[in-house]
Amino acid sequence: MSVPYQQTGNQLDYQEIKQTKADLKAEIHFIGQIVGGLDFQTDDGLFCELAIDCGDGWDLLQPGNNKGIQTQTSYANPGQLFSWCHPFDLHFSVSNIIGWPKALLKVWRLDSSNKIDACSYGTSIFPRSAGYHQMTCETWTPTGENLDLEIRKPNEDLATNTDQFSKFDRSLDWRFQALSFYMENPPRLTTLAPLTTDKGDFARRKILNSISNGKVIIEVEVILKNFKRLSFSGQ
Amino acid sequence: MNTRNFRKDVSDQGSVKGQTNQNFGYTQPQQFQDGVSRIQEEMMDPRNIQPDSMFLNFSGVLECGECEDEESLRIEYAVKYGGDDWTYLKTSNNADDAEPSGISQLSTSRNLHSRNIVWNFPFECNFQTKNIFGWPQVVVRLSGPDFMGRSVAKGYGSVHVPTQPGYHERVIRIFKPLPISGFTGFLGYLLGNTAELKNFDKVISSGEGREVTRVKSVGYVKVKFHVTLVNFDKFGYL
Repeated sequence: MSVPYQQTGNQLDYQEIKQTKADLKAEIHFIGQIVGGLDFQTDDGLFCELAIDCGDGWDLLQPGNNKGIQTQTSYANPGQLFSWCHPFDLHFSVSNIIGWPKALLKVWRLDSSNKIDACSYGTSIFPRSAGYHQMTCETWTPTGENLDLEIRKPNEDLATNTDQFSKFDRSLDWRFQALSFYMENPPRLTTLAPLTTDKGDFARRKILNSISNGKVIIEVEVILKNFKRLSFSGQ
Repeated sequence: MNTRNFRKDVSDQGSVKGQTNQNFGYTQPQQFQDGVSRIQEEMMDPRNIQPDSMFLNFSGVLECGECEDEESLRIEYAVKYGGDDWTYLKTSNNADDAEPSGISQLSTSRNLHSRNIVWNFPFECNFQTKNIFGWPQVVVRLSGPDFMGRSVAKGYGSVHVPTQPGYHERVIRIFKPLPISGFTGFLGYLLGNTAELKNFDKVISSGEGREVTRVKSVGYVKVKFHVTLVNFDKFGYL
């Protein structure tokens, strides 16, 4: 009883249709909006940049270019939402679900002298089930590095080398803190590698010190295609 | 019932008294009384037909909202959708139904204590599509009188139509573009040329070229949606 027929213009003229391979592939649509930022405690304008990080089996079909999203600059009173309201519409074709897409967020600050500077970073993972979701991503600002932790070789056991653990967890932090005090800007990450587990440099995140910052709110609707047919969960 | 009598007639015709019906399991395609064979009925069953496009029908109400310290506001909406795959299906031949949009009445808040302005403005749209990309968004613009009574824009916002069928409530955050400098802002205030967006529906719905704009949050609008999806399961969604 599940033979699909195609109804053509004439009421009694039916033909069997053949489904192509593309009809049976898994696809995902993320349709939503970067709504805004909360609790950033600043008088300057803020805007947000979003880059999408996904595995090799994910193919971004639409929009054609993956150059990332940059929102408008918003100002807000204390306790109010910084409204970015930036819509996005992503269409992925999935051949391997390893590397589910993550949103790498970077919040920038525009101060009164029209200078932009990095404010904070965050990582948020797109939802895995169909429907409406509100992603709240807490962000953090790096305050410095702790280079003593890098001296220990990666294969050595923690228990036998406790003397090599730095007793001063903020030992080299004063350089960054002094610089950021006089330059009025926090240190920036040189790459976005510490934000995501897919790149090799994620292990270097342990040398960072950071301070908490506000949160970014993203509303997203997820539409899954053929997930139930391929026995993937979520649809 | 018709069928029962018909079957009884057939079995009475073919059987001899004392002889059991010889075709237990297998029966030839039966001719029903109105002449449609079983295979033709199977082909006309909607569950077996693969349609060639999906339909989205949604209706809703732009209920109420607030915009900082404004007493009188009107709300205008436009539904923006991906141009190539989506088709807006008109329900009438009026000129103002060519694109899905509307302008509400000018409404005022009830008293000085609450800034809540109620429009209760309904809308309904039908779309036909073969692709999910370009899902429609409702883009709104709040406008009202300035100190001289001229109609100026007070805020903009947008929200995507919900993708799951049923009843949903959404909150649209409203923002207002800021003037480039204090002087242009002051002059615009006097002349009624406050910072506005030309073609607001295209600019807000696409997100392109908004990196250089500066805005301020001014309020929110509550909207209710009722969504029905047609043929989405035949295409593998839902």
